[in-house]
Amino acid sequence: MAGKSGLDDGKEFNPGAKPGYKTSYKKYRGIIISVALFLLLDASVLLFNFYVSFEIADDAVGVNLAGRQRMLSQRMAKTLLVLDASRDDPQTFKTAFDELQLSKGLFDQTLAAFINGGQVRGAGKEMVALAPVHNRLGKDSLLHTLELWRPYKNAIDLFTTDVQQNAATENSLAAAVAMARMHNLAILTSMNDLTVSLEQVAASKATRLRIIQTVGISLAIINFLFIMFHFLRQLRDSDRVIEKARRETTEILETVNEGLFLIDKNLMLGEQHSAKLVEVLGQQEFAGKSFQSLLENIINAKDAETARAFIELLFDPKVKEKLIGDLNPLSLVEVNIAQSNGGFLTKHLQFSFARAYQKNDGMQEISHVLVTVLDITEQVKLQRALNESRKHNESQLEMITGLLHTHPGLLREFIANSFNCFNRVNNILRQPAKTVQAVREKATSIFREVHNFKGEAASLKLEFFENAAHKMEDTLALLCEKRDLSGNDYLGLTVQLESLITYTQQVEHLTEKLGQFAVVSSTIPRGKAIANHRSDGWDHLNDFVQNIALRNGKMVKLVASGLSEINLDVDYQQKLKEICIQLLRNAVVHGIETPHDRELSEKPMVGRIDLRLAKVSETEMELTVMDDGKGLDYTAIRTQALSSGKWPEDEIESWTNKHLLGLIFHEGFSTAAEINKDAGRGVGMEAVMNHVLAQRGKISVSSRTGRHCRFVITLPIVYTLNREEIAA
Amino acid sequence: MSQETLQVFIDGVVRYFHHTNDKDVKVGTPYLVENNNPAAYDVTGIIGISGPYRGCVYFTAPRILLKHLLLSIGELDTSNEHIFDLVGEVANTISGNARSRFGHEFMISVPVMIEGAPNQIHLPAQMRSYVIPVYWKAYHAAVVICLEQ
Repeated sequence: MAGKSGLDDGKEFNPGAKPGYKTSYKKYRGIIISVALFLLLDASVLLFNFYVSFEIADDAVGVNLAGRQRMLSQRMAKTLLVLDASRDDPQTFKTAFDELQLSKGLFDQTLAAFINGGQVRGAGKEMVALAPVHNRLGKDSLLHTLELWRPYKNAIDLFTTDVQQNAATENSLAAAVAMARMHNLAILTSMNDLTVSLEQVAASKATRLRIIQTVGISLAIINFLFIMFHFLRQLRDSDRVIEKARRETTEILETVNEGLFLIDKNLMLGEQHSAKLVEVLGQQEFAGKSFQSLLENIINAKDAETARAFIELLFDPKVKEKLIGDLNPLSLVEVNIAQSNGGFLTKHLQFSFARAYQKNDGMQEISHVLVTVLDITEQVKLQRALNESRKHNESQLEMITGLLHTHPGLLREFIANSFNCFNRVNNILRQPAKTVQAVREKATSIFREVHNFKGEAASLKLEFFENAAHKMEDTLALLCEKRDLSGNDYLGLTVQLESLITYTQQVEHLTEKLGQFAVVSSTIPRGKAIANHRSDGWDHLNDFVQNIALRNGKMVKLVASGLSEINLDVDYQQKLKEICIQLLRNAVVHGIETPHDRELSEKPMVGRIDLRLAKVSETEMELTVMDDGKGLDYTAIRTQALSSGKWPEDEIESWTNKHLLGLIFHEGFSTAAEINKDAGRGVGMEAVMNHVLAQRGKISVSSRTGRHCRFVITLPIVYTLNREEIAA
Repeated sequence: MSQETLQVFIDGVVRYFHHTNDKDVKVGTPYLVENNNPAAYDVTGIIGISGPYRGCVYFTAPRILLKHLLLSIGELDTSNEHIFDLVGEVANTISGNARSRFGHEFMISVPVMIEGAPNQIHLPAQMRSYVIPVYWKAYHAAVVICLEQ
């Protein structure tokens, strides 16, 4: 019985346990009976006490009256003697006579009441009831007194009659005095005996009362001790069982790897929960909290509402638990627990719900819903990392195929240049610009950077970079056209820049990995040709030219010479390369004709571009780019100048070819029919001019229509620091 | 991160300034900073973002701008406490705007105000942030957005 009680408070998860009044009655029957007995004992002792105390009170009246009898006997004797002595004093005689009458009446009345029971005047004026005396000694002394009293009383009556009839009293008084003298002592003794006997009766009753009280109280104490010891032991036993059960429950709740708690029909959390719950959901007061408010702080309100509806379904006994199991909106939920520093701690939790039943009047009733919370953040993260790495691998594979054709050295150089370019672009963006003009100028400056970048990407056939740069150019072109340009309009460009930087970082990461691979593979001795292959950074130009030619439907042969003969500074060489790229691109796109046109002009189908770098003096070099194409199209330049609307028409008409030639170095000037990756922005030649001017160089252009076009650029030489020389 | 998402945060700041008397607020050209060298002025109000994007967005401004701004909204007490409250208010406007635009998809924390730049708890060092300069009167402030998908 007690063993069950620990779980009988309706908190257990076990649906088979039996709660209810029957069990409690059984459990407490012993204690109820014992307590009832205890009260019964106390009550009977009390009742008896009352009864006896009333009796004792009656006895006390008896004792008192018996004592008065003694006194009355003596008073009668005394008054008779007084009467005898005061025959000549009528006043005293009268007083004594009245006293005698009173004493005699009282004595006689009381004596009769002692013998037969009846009403008698008490010590006060009130009437008291006297029960007949039953005890032997009392009875004997009463009978003895009665025997003595009768003649004595007759003598007094005779005297009384004489006095009342005013007859001579000498004889009758003398007879009464004689009677008093004869019986006075005996009567006194008898009345004394009566008093003593009555006192004895009262004392014996008091003794009995004490005994009974002692016994009653002792029994009550024994009963109490029994209750105490018996039930304390039972309580201790049941407490031990409860404690054991509680310890087990606590141990389970402390140890279990999930957050566990119960919620009731009102969606309030129960008093107990597992220790893990604190770890999963953060330190807070769970007991008595509503499940809604628990969720509201960590998931969005819509999901919390769905969860509430779901739990309400669980409390509906008409709904099958298994059927709605799949509807659990919290089976995998991302929660964001606000941190004190303003950030969020994101966890992935799995909530599962199970009905807990209780038997009530033989019916299974859903009492609670048991909620299990599992932190599956690690699993989710792992899964994501797996997916991420799969995706990453795929994109890396794609990247590798896009990069494989490029020489690793060139690629590294390209990446380094790219980051420099991105930094420059970012720096341009970073400069504070508050006027529309200043904001607009940024677009122009960035355009130059991006265009150069695009050229280099194209020269290495890095299509992704080329395309990305081209898209940025599109964005920039839109910005240039926009009226009321604001800083905010650059947001799209910055986003493009960011994604390009991210991509470039990935490529860099990949090339580092590939570089390691190359180190490993280069330890294997290979042919001398490969070992001697020194990447001077110029080889790709041919690829670049072929690539553009292919895209523009042309056939070109690049004849390059002298490019590696001068040990130029790395940055300077980079600038020179950018110039070459622009000029080569121009030559292919604008110079060389399509094979068909060449055939018509009786030229070889394959066009030729000469690229030559030559040292003119110790301090000067000359870069020549010459193509055997159609030469500069002055008509097209003039038309373009007219359509641009920048100059008055008649002024343009008067311009010489030389003047028109200057236009090709103008910003935004292009004769290309449409904008594509290779031409049309009108930025390339301007960039060349900027580079040359920056180095205080010169550009000369010569062209013969239908025959050739030649750019000769004279630049100072900036030597590289030869490390070997320094070492020597 | 998409341009639209960034725009929502920028709009939040612009919206705040539009409530002031001097509505002439300009947005500069956005640029990027590496998080190991975060951009910040004197006082910064940060809100944490979680959901499809996670990270933080903060508004940072020099004290002088904030004092001037306090005066322009009629607050004559330019104590530090008020300055912090003001930055918190701007941050709250940003988060309010984001909440109304993104809906319940995003969880946005209450603003945390600090002096100087946010630390690594808010800004993962290996990432970059967008800095959007905000020009108000003669002063420069900025909205900085660092979110990852």
